[in-house]
Amino acid sequence: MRLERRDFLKMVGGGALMIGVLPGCKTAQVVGMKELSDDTFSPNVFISITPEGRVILALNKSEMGQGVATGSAVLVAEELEVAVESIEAIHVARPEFENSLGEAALSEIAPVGMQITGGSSSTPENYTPLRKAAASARLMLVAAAAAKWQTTAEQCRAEDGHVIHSDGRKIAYGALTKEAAAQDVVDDPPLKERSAFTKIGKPVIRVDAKDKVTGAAKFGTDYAPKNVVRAYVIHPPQQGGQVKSLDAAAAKEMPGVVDVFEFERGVAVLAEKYWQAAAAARTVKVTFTEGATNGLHSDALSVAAKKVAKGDGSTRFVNRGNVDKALAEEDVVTVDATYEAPYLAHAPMEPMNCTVHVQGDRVQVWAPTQSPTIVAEGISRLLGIDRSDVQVDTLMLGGGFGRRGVPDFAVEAAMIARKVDRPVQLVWSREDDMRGGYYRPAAVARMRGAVSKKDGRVKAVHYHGVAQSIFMDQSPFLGAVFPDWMPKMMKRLMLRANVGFINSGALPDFISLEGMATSAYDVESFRVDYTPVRTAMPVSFWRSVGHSYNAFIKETFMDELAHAAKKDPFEFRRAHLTAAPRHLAVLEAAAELGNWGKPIEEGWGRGIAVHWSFGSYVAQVVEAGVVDDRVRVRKVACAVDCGVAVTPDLVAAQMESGIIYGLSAAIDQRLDIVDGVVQQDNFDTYPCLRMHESPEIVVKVMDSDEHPHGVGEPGLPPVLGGLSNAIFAATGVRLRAMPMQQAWDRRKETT
Amino acid sequence: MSTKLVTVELEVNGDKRSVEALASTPLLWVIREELELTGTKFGCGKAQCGACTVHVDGVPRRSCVTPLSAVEGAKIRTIEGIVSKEGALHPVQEAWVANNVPQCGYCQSGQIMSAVALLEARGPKVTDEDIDAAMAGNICRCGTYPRIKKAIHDAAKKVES
Repeated sequence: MRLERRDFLKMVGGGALMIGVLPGCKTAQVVGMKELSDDTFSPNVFISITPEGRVILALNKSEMGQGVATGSAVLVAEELEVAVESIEAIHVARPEFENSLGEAALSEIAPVGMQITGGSSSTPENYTPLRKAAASARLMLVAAAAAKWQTTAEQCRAEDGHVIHSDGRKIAYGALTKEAAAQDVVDDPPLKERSAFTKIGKPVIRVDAKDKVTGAAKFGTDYAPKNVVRAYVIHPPQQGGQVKSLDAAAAKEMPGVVDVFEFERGVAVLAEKYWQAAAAARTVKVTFTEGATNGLHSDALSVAAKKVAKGDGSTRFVNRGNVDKALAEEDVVTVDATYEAPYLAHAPMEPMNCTVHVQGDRVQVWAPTQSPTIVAEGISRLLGIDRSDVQVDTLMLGGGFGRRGVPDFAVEAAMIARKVDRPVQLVWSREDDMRGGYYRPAAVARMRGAVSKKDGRVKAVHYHGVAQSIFMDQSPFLGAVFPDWMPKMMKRLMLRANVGFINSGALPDFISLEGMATSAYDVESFRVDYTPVRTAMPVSFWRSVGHSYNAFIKETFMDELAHAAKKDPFEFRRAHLTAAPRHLAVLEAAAELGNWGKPIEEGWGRGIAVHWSFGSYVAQVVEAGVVDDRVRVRKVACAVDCGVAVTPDLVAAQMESGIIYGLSAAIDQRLDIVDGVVQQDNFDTYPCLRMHESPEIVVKVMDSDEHPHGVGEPGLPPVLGGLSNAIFAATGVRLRAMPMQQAWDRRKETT
Repeated sequence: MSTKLVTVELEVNGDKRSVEALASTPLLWVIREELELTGTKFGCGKAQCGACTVHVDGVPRRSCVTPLSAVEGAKIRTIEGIVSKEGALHPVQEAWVANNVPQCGYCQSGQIMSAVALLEARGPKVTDEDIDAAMAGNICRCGTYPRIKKAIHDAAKKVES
């Protein structure tokens, strides 16, 4: 291997480090610290080919259901010329993968970044680097075969894991690894044109499907290191509360119990087996001090936010035209409406869990996490060690939705593990999971708008959003974005500066405004105001983040404006999207797919919505009604333009997923906070859409040559407004608050 | 909380097993930690989500609320027990793969155990209404329901009633 490797690694976003060992988790089974043989061909940070012919793809992203393992395998298979199913995609955490914050992070002057899966960014980020990594490997294998056969590369081609000579001779990649490793690294290999793709854009079976139907896939708690001890934690009712009194005498006598002790986050009960710990925890007598959330009531917060929303925002992000003048014109119809969305839990199927082994100043972590960097940073700060001394192996994630981008559960496991001489596996109960924080913030927004009586066009829209700032709450974790060598003091200073910038409005809180400030509707006068709310209830990224309430508000309000203008909501949107061709195309496709304008039975209605998020354009037609006072959705038609669809069937699956996840929130889900305590704590009080209420979903994936963009989140936002609009069409009742079942039940109180 | 230990004989996926644990131990944790069959998942702990579904004497049960003391002598079948002796996938598993049903996959062992029980009871005659009724106890946060419904119909064509 020549030194030029470095240049290539830089190109794919890395330093210069060989894959010698592959710590991490195969999608099928835990590989552990398995050494690959010396003759393994590892031309770059992503790809390794062993003499036995195994093709191993080091995944820089976490597979949490969105299909990134399969999508990445398809990208590699396309240029490496191997079968998709022959690729072993393995989660690997490595410093070279900490450059996932886009182009800026790749530049040498800003050596920052972190290995994180979020923002629906995996495919857009990896689309070119993975194909280049694979093409480079293929060219080196071909060169190796040509050298072996004493011919030129032009006489050879790659096909299905082999190099084939024009005279018919054929050699498997595995038999070429040693020679290939001696070839010059190809820095900037040419890539196939889209018309030559044989795998990208074609039907594919998920690479993790078989392991996930046989129970073989290893999720967080499915891997237990030798001598593991299980930890059950009794958390304070109010987050941040500390132990005031503790009597664990009875618990310590229970079978299997190893220890019971108080720590920063509550009381840890350790036992040989999970149930021994859980059973012993029930005998512990503990009282807690008040926590940081003491006195917080979501009802009172809602009342206060609505009052604030009526005034001017503390920051103005967009101010186009003259909103005040347009609203006061004589020949307009005005609409003034206040919308609301509640706090939400992510509630992935797999409760939070993490396994940690503290061995002196080295720490081994096994975690289902969206960001091994953030986990390592959090634990290194807790223990006062270097981040590079924390090895994080990512296990399969039983859902993420943003929740697993926060390291609280891993740091909690480390707090316990540092007091124990054995590996500790922490498993939260479902109740811990729902009460344990990091919620989608509640949001209130007042909307004012004016449509012309003459031509029915929107003259003005004024949005004033009032919501807790995710940006500010998540700032402490942004420390992981800075490189490990940066002095801790400097990290702290930069983080403090960051919060200050947001507070002062100098740094726009784009997360709170996303989906609104980015509206594509052609509106003469447009103003976007924002007032942040501070509470002690921790908030974080929840599938589609700011879009998860702003798209609801934008699309429902657009419908209200359409009705005020006495226009068809589809035609009304079209008229305001003439300069937005990709919006327009998905809108028209969804309308056709969803039978827009066709007759529908009494009691049912169609609602339409279109929204851009995370680079992708999605429109939906929702068919809904209220049957025996129950909000029901029977069909959703969806059109998506995400650029090149690498795995079209998995793109469709993500649309289905976003729609159902979104409908669960739109219809039923809310968290009520009473005196700092979240009231909902399991699926009986925090309902999820189930099979019998799940709609028929049809998806059209638009053909496109554009660079691919995300699909994990964009399917969700349009369904929220789409549902409200459908209920209005069906019943004449406008629901301006989520969850809409509650809004329906309360419609007489509020209207 | 009782500290009573019990020894219980079980038949798990065709094998005779003997387990000693707290009498209150849910079957779920016996399967996962004593028998080391980790395909069955913990989701809610109160029979709300179905991730822990296994068959007890042929009937789908929520193992997270089924105490060990209640299954003495029972025949237990888990996700690991529906593959044939030769290692061939069950038709339900095949249909799941062919339809790209799993996303995160965490709930799928429970979904599949519910679906297998449904098809063993209803066979090729299974209707959408049967599926709604039999699968309503299994939550999937990834929203794989439409594909599960399709996969059950596909599998129904291949299984004997």
